[in-house]
Amino acid sequence: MKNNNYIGIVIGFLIISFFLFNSFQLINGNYNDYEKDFSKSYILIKRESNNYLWNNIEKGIVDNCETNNIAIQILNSDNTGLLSQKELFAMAVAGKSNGIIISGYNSNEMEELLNKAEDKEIPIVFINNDGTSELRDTFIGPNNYQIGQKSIQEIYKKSNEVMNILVIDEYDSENRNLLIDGMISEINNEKNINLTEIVSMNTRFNFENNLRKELDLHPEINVIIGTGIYDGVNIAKAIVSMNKVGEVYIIAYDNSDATMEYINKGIITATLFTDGYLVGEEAVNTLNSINEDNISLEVFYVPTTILNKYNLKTYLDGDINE
Amino acid sequence: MNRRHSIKRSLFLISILVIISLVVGNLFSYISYRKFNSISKKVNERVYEIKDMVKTNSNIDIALSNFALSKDTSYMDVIFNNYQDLKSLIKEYQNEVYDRKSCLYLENIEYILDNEYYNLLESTIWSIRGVNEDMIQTNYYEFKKLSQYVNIYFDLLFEKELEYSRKITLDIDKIAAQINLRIIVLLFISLFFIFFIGISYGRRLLANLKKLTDVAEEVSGGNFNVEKIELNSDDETALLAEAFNKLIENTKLLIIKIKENADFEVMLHREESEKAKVEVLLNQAKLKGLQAQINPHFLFNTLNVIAKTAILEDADDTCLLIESVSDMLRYNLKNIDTVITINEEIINLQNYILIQKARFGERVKFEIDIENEVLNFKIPFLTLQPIVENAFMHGVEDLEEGGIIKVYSLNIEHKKYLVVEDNGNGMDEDTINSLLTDNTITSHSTGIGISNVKRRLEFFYNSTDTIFIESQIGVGTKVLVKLKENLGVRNV
Repeated sequence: MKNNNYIGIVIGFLIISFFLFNSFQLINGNYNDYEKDFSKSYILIKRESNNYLWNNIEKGIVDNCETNNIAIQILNSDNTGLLSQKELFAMAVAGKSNGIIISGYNSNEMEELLNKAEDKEIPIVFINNDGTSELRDTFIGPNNYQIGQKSIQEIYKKSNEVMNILVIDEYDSENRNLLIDGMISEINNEKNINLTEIVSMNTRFNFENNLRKELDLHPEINVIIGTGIYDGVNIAKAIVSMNKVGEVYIIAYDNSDATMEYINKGIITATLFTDGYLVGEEAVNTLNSINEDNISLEVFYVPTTILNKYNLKTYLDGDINE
Repeated sequence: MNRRHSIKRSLFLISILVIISLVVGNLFSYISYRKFNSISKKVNERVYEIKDMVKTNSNIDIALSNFALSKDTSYMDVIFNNYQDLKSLIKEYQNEVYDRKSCLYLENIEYILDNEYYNLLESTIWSIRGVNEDMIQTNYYEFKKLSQYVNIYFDLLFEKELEYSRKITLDIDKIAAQINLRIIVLLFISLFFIFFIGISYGRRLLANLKKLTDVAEEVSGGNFNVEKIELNSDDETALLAEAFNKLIENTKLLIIKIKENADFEVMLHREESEKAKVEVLLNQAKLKGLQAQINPHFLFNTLNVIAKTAILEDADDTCLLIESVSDMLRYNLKNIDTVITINEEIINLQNYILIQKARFGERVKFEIDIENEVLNFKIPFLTLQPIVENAFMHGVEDLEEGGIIKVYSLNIEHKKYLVVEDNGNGMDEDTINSLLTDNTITSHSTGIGISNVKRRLEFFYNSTDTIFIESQIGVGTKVLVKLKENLGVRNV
């Protein structure tokens, strides 16, 4: 009994000591997550802060930077007092970094800043949108011309009937121009496909009425292609609302959940997109190559994924990347 | 006695454990509070430091603007002093940087301040001093933009600080909750162990006390044959048990002594009682003697006259008979507590036999055959005569003829016996028992019964196995008197 008491006291003492030691460690734990020994520092200038494509791009960049112990600063208009892309780029160039990732655009200021960056030996990678400037080091993003071609191919794979296409294009941008150019080049090769009209239309506000008018004007339209990132889903919603499901083929350019749902229901015919995560990941790889080996590709097209009702399940199961 | 595990000490130990647990718990809580408080304080200080840096940057901007407007060179000092202050503040702040992004923002700010910012500041100042309005405007515009970028970096830093503050608050909340839980667990463990020790100690104490009370109950019930109390402890109960064991042991010894004394007293009492009984018997015999001593001289003189007359009348047998009666009476008048030899008893017996022969004639024969060695053995006075008389009375008296009374010595298993044997009627068991126990059955000649003889022999030899009677109805009776050497005999 007496021995049991001693064993109990010793065990108790050990447990209490462990608790104390462990708890003191907890109190005196390191509250800083700062690591000074990062190898490089890059700046990402986000074009849209609340957009799943750009969020995927950011995630690809952040994950790759984490893996390679690279510091990343993310600048967007929301966290900088609504500065423009140009101002954000100027701010990034003025600061200290080993590379800047930005969505490309064309302007004189851009040229100046690219020159300044070149002087400061800051590599610049354009993502998603390419500009005309040759001063940027690399463009990483979708091959929009090819995507345009593939969009048309997806349509004529469906039926031999005559296809009359309505293209909805809200903004005039290099990317969309390339996309439409690709479509046109493909349409020109096919007899049964006609490009009825390219309209500039906002698919978010009063879209259904506008689309109804357009379809009343061109009742032969049986294919609608929206070039904007949310256009596919908005067109699908309008078509459902107009009770025209099955009468119109819809092509989308995103991999949002809503788009997947509409493909599954057979309302959207197909979607063509590039994975933003891969774009972000490749952007960091490219900056690393430039910094470490001074090697870079001028253009890196990220593979396009085409999804339709038949391969959607396989994609969702994770068996399709391209 | 200093005991290692005294109850007082154990209670003291348990109290100390309770106090230590509470003190450790509170100390722990206090340390956590101090630590978290210092972290929160640091975070707050850093937020104010950022505000100071932003303010200093704004001061430069304002001073530059005033300088551009007034051309007052004193603003230059303000500008450069603020610039230096800003750099110092950044340096100070850098020492406390905790986060990668914050560090990057700071590096960017420092880089801009050291390079483009400073260059533009200088250019603007020089253009103001050179009164080149176009240059002033261009440089100042560029400087303002850069100053704005710096402020944006400060904003980002501030945002990061808030983010960190929020994170640290959550972390602290989480850690505080964990620490509170640990304190509670620690207290519970301590209480459990205190409870465990207390219960264990209490149980042991109660078990020991139960052992003690059980034994005490046994002892109080008069049972001292209890096992020695063995307690598995080293406290006061062990001391109590030791004392109790000693008490029981001493009491047992005392009881044995008292018992021995009591036995001894009983024995003494019995001996005295025996002695008193013998004395009664002797007194009885003495009384008989006294009764018979009624003017013995007159009786003996008379008997002598009769004997002489008998001689004168040529009646020799009568003379012999009267002499035998006279001798026997003289013998019988001796003190009853006298010890005599068997030889003397035989001589007296022969007188008695002679008288009896005159009475019974040829109807009874007497045979005496005693070893010489036995003749010297001592026995109480009047031992044989009552036995032989009994042989007449209960044995051969009723026989018409052929009665034989034998008196002889016998050796049985190295023991000497004096035997009086007759071939008379014999006796049943009841008669034998009466003879051996009833004082009222006495002989005619002596007034002393066999029971009297038996008692005196028992006292004389200090032994109970003195007389044995073997009898068979119609066959005869044999009375055996167990003899002993003359050693250890007591005077009657």
